[in-house]
Amino acid sequence: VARPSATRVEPVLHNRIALLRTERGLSRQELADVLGVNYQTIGYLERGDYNPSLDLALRIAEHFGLPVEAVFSRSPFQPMSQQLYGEARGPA
Amino acid sequence: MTHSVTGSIAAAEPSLRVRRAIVLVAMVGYPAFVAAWVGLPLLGVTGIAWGIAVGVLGLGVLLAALALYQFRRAMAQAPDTQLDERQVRVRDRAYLDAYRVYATVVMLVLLIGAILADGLDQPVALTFDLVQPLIWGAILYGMILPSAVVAWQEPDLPGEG
Repeated sequence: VARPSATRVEPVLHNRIALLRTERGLSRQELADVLGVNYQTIGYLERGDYNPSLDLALRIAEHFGLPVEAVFSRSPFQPMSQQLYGEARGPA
Repeated sequence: MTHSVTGSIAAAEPSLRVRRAIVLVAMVGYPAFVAAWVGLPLLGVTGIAWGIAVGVLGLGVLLAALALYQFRRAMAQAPDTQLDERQVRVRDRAYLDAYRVYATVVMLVLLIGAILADGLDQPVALTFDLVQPLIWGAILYGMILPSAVVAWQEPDLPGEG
């Protein structure tokens, strides 16, 4: 999950692009080709160094077949493992 | 939208630290070159020694300027059709920052000239020897400043994850 750098002035936008891309076995270049952007831009997006336009955010979500709020969030995402198992196990 | 300019460059790009060093060479190198050209003969350095000093400085500035101009396949000079949305934003921001620096430097040079003329109580003579380095400097910085800003500001490329 991307953690935006603390130095920039833009609003913080968290995303799950790296996770989803890895899950689907895509390289940055392959994802970039599908989305029509430069592969460097995918890297900067994943690292949280760049907030996409609404159009690009929607295209990314559409590519992964997910609602945009599943890919982008203004608050940090919970780690996937915690989301899947955290609450189910709970304290002993 | 096409992205041929920076489509798939090699990962062997200079690091941010190296890029900033190149920017400094280009920015500081030219005044040093002019100072050496004019000043070394006044210090008694002439002939081959003068030629080597001036040549090294001039070549350094030229190579640094070329390296900056070509950074990310001339991203700072590329039209919108060859860039994606992030690159367009970076390029436009670089032009804004470059203009601010350029305008500030030009204003300072003019201000210093005016203060000098006032202090000397006579106009500064705009001789060919004075104007020529200023013109070449204006051309050089006008051409490379946007690229220099991009090279200075762009973070290192993220590693493949």
